[in-house]
Amino acid sequence: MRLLPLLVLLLLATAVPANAWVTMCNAAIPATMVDTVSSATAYPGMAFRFKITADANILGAIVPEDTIGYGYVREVTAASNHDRNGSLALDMREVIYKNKEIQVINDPRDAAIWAPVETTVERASGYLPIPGLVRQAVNEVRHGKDVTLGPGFNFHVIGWGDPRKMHPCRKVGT
Amino acid sequence: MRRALPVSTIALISAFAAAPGSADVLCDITIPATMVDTIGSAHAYPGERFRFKTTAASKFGDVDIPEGAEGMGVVRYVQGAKSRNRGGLLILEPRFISIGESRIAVMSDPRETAEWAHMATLTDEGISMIPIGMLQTAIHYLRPGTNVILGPGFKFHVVVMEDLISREPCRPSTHSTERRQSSPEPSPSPEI
Repeated sequence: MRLLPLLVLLLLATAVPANAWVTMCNAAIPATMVDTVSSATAYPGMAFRFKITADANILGAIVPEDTIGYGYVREVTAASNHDRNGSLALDMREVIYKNKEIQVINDPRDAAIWAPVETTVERASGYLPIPGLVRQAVNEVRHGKDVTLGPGFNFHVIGWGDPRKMHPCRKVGT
Repeated sequence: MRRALPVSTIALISAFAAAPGSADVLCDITIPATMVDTIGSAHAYPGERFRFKTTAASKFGDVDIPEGAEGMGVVRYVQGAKSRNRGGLLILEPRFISIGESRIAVMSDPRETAEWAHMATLTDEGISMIPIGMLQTAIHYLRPGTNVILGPGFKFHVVVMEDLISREPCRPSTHSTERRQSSPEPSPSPEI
């Protein structure tokens, strides 16, 4: 009986957080990179090109496949020592069609920051209840990995009309 | 043994060396701004709009951007605070400033961080020095994370984007101002 508060506390601590809402957005348009951006060489503010990979209706404008768009590197961290991996945050800004700039945003349901995926070994080592010093020592001498996003890297963009009048995305639920 | 010593010393020095510093980046027109709306990682959702305003007058070509000019952006990413010491996180994307009926495209100053979250307290930093992983894990397991709230008074900067196609708004201090002169120009978009 005396263990009851402890059990309740444990249940609360391990409970999965509630997620009773979803984000609904305008039609997501598939796109891929045209330029290659690597966390080893990119710099914040660097512009890059992407292209959409399917014909799309962006807020009333029919835009064909392979239409070029532009974005910039929002944040970049190069890989470094102590097992620190590189990461990239990209902002897609506009698609150019018939000399007209059509504003787009990243699909906010996609990841915002791109970094190398943790390997199974790395993930498994996170569960080892060994003293942190051992893990720290291993990471201390290991160099991180850079992330490279180039042609073939797929993501989505969403058309954004007049933001004063419309939301690109909405929260559905509470 | 005598030969091994310098090698191990070099290895140790290189292992503990600080990460290389980032290169200087120069941006065109940087304007200080502050939030008008309040965005909190507890209730915001990705894609939500927010308003901000400039806190200093600026000039872009022939256009005067007054202090207090209102702008708009979207929440790029949001992560609410969770159990087990997982703090909230916000990534905001300012998009434009309105001057009358016209809009001037802006972007976040890429020299500032993209991710806004609570800083680690001295206690957090102290705990991270404890060389026993299990104890640290146990402490974090019972501690809830804290949300981050960005509202009026939160200051940041935006950079005017003249034209992403012909000129990058920011570049390394040694970089050419013209964009990718060596790379091929994109083929014109097909028309239907």
